[in-house]
Amino acid sequence: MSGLTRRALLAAGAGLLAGCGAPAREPSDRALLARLDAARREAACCWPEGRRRALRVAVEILPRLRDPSARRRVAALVAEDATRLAELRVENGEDPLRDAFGGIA
Amino acid sequence: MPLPDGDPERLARLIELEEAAALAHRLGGTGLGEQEAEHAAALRSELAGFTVRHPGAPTRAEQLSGAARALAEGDRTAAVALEQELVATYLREVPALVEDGVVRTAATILASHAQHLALVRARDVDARPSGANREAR
Repeated sequence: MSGLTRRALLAAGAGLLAGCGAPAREPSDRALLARLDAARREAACCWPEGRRRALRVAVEILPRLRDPSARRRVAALVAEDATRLAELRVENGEDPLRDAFGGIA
Repeated sequence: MPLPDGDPERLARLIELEEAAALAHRLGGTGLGEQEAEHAAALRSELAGFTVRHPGAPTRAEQLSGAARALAEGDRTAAVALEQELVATYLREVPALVEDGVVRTAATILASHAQHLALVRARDVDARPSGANREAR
């Protein structure tokens, strides 16, 4: 194997290893919030299950948001959606407090 | 200048509030005390991850103050004020927490308190299906 080829292979291998070891790139706040918006729009079609799914998305993205104001906004949405979910369950004759954690799981 | 509070300090404050709320709801007979105790247990578990222990929970109404004390002494209308305080506290604390798991645990507890608030506002606690209301009976 020529020196050039060996160097090229080593460089390619190093690149692959670096790629494997690198952490997955976190989505931007904008992308995370877009995901939540989509989940909340979908929730309108299928109560209360859709609302529960939207709530799960909000809880899932919250710690990944970098902007403090976005975090505050999503926390407020968690409270708002959880309230609505409880009201919908009451309307459906279900237990509105399925568990101690918002019935999200 | 003092350092800003980290997750352990915030968790310790939330545990204290949850344990007070658990006792108040139990003594006030709202049916929500067991869920508040579950919140405290979940937060204690998160706090243990920081190798920090929290002192014991209150056991008597005299150890409580504000809306928790009023509810524990039988004023069930105070349940609304107590849950409002809890929702407001979590709305402030959740965005400031750092660790992913801690944020998610606290966010689900925020959701739970928002639901408690909706329920106590609607004076619906006694009409709930028996499963969620067992401990008040």
